[in-house]
Amino acid sequence: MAVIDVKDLQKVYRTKTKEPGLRGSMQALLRPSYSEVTAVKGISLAVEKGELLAFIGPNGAGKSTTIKMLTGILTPTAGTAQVLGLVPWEARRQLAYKIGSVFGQKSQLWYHLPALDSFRLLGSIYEIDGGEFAKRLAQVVELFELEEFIKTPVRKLSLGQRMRCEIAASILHRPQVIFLDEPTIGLDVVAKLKIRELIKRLNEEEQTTIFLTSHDAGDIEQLCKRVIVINYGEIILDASTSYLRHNYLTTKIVNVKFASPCPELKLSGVEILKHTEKGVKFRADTRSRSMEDVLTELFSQVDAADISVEEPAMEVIIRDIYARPAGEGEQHAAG
Amino acid sequence: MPVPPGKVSSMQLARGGAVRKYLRVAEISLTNRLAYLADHLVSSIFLILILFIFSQLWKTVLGTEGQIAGLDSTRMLWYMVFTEVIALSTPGTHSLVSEEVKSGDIAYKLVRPYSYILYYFSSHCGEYAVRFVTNLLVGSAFAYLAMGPLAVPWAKLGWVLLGLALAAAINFLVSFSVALLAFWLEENRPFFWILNKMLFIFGGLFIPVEAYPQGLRLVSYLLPLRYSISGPALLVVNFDYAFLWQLLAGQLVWVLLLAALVTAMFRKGVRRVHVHGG
Repeated sequence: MAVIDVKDLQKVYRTKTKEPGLRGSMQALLRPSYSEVTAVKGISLAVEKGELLAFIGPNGAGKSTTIKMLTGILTPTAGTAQVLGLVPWEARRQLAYKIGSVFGQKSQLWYHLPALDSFRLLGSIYEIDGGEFAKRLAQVVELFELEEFIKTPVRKLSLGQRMRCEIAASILHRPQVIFLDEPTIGLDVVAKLKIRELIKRLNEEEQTTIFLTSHDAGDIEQLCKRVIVINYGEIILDASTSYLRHNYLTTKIVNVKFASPCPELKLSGVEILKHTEKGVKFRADTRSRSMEDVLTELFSQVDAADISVEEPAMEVIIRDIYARPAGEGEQHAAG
Repeated sequence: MPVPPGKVSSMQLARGGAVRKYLRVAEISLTNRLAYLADHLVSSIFLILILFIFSQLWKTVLGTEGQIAGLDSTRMLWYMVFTEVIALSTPGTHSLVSEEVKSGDIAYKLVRPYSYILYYFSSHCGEYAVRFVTNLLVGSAFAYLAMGPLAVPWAKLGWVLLGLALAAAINFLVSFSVALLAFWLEENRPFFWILNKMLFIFGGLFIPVEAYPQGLRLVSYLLPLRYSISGPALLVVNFDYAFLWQLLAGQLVWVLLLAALVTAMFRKGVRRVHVHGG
């Protein structure tokens, strides 16, 4: 049974418009005019229990509006949705006990106090019994490895540690569904990997359904089995992550810093973007040649001191989805 | 037995969890404020400065015999200790709420299982308690050294504390209602400025409103501000049962009226968030 069931969900915002200048301001005061913006254009989707779903799209695509409707903050203009059998905007308070949410840079922790104080507060807010809270806290501290810094004021934590605490705070009440909006934004590589590992463990060990939005293609590739791409309020792709990987996450930008100078380099099947004695930057398309092949050829000529691989930006993936409609088989494009 | 994910056991609800959550908010707000205690003590210098100026003024104007509204120079200064302590201890909850409404961040609070108004009221109370105690210690120390002791009505302390608690509630509700104007107005700061100036006059910040000319006194009797500043301060320095009943009755009426207003404003405003996203 689907834990999230959405049918033809639509959201139209009415926003005030104003002509420039003083005259425009006076007009807006006396005769305000409005324009309508359709943020979400009748989307339908279903998420099964225990799924780890990526819900992605560029800024202004309708991701946050959709999450706000699914958490009961926003009332849709049309369509229906049920989360854990409840209509979110009709039973927001009741639903709040069953879901968790982490909204990117909106902290739910008290900045000058240790995370433990915020956890205790949330335990009371979610009305968790004292003994049960102690047990749950111990579980969460172990799962997220918080022991070392749980008593340190939040302001003194690194961004990665803080985000671990944010996610931990949102699961204290054992939510069945958790909405993670950009949980890795601004994190360095190591912290990102840690957060991804923890999200995966949370999904596997507690069977929590995870609804994840992110701009980072790495989050999606490494965490999710299914991905929904939304743009201009419409779902343009609802497919497995492996399908996305093989069809749209094929272009990689590779940066290599040489251990010793290498004035000449021959690499076939890639586009060299920059080459100096100290390093090379090239674009590879994994559909024409596997990354393993490319790197084998490269390492036969040079010793690498450092290497980094950039995923295509979300905007590029979306451009590709529009340019190349989805193929056959289990995957399908929507919209 | 562990409760299954997402389930709230009847046991949890039966143990007064709803009340406990707001007490915990007040507690964490109080603890959080203690982290700023040093800053707060430094800012108390402002209180000492005001009290110093007025101690000189009352000594000169009232001398040893003069009175204002039945208060001699010593009790006038002590009156001001309490009005200033009440005014200066009121936290900036209104700015926080105002910003949350304007930025749309209020939406993120609405996904939590608590009443937004009670959450901020509890938080306000926690912070107010710390500010009140520190300001009162500083102000009392100065007044004691400058003008001598106050005959504290210790036996009636419970009534005094009740008056002060209701005053804090009125202050919260008045400023919260102005903060909620942000749902409809792009800029509500001028209203805070006006409110602040009205507190000076109709709240009786410097002189008890009982000493005002009849017209001005009548206006201040019709507004809630007198019940949140002047009234409780006067009760401390000049305790009288007749005045106590009048004060408590007025405070209760205003708490009920303002709570109804704030609830109505919040419901109407939050509907805009649900429809327009803030």
